[in-house]
Amino acid sequence: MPLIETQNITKRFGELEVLKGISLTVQKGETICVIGPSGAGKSTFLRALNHLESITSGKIIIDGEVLDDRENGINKSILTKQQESDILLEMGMVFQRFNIFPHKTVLENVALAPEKVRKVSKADAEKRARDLLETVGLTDKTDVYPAKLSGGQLQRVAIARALAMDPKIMLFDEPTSALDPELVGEVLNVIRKLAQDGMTMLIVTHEIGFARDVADSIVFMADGLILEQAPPAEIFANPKNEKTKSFLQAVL
Amino acid sequence: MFESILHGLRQIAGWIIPLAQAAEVTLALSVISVVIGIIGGVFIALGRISRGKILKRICGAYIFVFRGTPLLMQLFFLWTALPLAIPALTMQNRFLAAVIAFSLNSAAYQAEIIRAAIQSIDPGQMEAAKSLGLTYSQAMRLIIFPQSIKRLVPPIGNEFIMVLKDTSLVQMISLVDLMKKTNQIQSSAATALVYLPSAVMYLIFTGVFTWLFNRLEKHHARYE
Amino acid sequence: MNTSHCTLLKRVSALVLALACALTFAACAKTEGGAASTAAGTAADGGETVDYGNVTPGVLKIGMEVGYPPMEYLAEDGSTITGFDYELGLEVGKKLGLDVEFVDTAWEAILTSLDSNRYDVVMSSLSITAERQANYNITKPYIANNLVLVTVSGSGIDSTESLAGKRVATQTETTADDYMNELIDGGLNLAGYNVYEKVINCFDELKLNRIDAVMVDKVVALYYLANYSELEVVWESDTPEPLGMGLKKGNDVLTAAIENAVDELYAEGTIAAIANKYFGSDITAGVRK
Repeated sequence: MPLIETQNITKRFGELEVLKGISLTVQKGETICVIGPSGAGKSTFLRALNHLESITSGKIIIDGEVLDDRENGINKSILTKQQESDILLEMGMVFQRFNIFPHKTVLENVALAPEKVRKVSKADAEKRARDLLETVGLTDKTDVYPAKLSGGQLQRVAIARALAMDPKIMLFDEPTSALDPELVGEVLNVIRKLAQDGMTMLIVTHEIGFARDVADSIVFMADGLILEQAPPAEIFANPKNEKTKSFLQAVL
Repeated sequence: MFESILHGLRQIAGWIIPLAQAAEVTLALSVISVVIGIIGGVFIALGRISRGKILKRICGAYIFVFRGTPLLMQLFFLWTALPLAIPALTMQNRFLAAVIAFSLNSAAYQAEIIRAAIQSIDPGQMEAAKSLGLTYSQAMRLIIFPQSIKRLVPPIGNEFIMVLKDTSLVQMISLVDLMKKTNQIQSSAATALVYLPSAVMYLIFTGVFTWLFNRLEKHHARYE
Repeated sequence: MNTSHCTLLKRVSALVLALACALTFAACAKTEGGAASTAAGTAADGGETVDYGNVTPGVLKIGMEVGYPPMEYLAEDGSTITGFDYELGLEVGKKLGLDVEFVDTAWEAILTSLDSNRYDVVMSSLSITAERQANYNITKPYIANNLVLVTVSGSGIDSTESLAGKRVATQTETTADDYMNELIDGGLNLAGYNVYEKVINCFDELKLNRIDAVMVDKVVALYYLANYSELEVVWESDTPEPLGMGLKKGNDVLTAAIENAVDELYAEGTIAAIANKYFGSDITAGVRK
């Protein structure tokens, strides 16, 4: 059973159709990178999975449970608030602009949600937060405020923060686009390590080299559609779609 | 020369107590009204940014009415016009009436201050909170409000000083505030000298509160 | 969709702007009209205007707190000044050969504004008191007056002594206010003493039962009694408190000229006619000695 399954997702903003029918499955332990020109609908797709956007029609199934089954914006899948939020908690999200809470220390950023949402005791939440900060290499920054950190460090805090909720799936929305080039590496290394540890991940990225390196499968999106999906070796060596071809030529 | 200065000082000393008693009304009215106004303002601001269309309209109308009419008119409406029309609504306590009118008015102004502060927070903060599973009220309480405070403090400090000066309107309902007492002393003692201690009192109040609000602002910006 | 929004916005702003302009013009037109009506008091004998050292040469500026019927108040249209003092002012202006302009002023500042040259003379139901005479030129009386106590009928109050334990209101800084303060200093124990900016406030408070009695000028009380049938005068002061006009200390030329004019108006019966119009009787008779 796939961890994520979407069937024919569409999304309209008024007259504009941003997603024109996206069907994708992500198996447990898979890392899938979504690439494509800007305006392709990659971020919208990712945000729709996490209910930061609502879809117009289509089906979203997370770990076997139907989160959305929509037609003209109306959800036919009737879930209680609690059920919905339980399903959503299986996905952790990392944003392009980090969205770290500036008024909380690094440790508080990571420990907050487990304590307030999962009702873990403060001591346990903080212990787990320290462990996670160690894995992302920020042991020495636990008690500082985010204003003192670099972009790369902030994004690593954000990854630790998402992991603290023990999600089954991690969603990355262009995690390195807002970073200075010299800081990209430290964030990609953390993501790479997660992939090696078997985390299921859906990553929207512009880092083609990284995608080739880490992904089990590459999805190419343009104009609200998935035009091609294949393992990296195949798609880079032998792209089938004309648009994929010209996009890869431009970025490689 | 020396004699007249001494006489002036002696006069001022005699006015301190009556002025201070009147200043109590001024100060209590401003502090209570601004505090109630903040509490009310939070709820009205939340209503204004909520998705509920009717709630949004009601809160919008409230702000429109209370910011769009003079405070003096609201005070007079509550104290005189309303009870003349509906005798059951006749209040006897002048100070209470003033507190109600000033709080209702202040809430409208502060709702807009608070709304602006909340909406100035990066929407990414709310998205991050949601993606971590926080409920709307948790996100507001733990993430959005604490960050808004440092943006709220300067305009609310400003509002407080405006209210402090507006309290002189209460003489219309026969409450004796610092300004009214000053006028009374001026006309019975036939000297404008009384403006000196009175102005000093106002400046002490605004000075102390400006200092307090600056401290508060710094405290809530310490993480930057 | 965006463009249509834009045009709509433009249209609405244009409309608002037009409305604002129209209102401004209307306001201007009205001021002009007002000035014209007050100029009715221009030199009757058509001669050249005499210089009395007026604040504005050729104009008699009269300060009053409009809102004290029937002495000085707004007619039912809400914008035209009328009243006993108003009509008397016009007549005095005529006698002096001056244009007349009325300046509406807060009561609290009515005398001090003489010192700051905002107008030449106060004609605003000003009671003659020793304190006022010491600081200003006050004319001889032109209308009789005394303080009265007004209550709701059947209040049981019939004297200043019976005010003990009651709530009383007056207009701030009036002789009624002074008199109440004297009584309080003399040991009268009230349950509450409230002063208001406008005399109408006192009567509203009486109707709302927030106070028990109003101490006020008789000339005003008579007017309100005519409008509020449930009120009555329960006590009347023995001390006459006639009204006079106030001028800046030392402004003797104009003071004398005004005294002369008022004397003439008395002799001609003009003042008696105005009094009859506003009070139904000539309460000015015999007051000017």
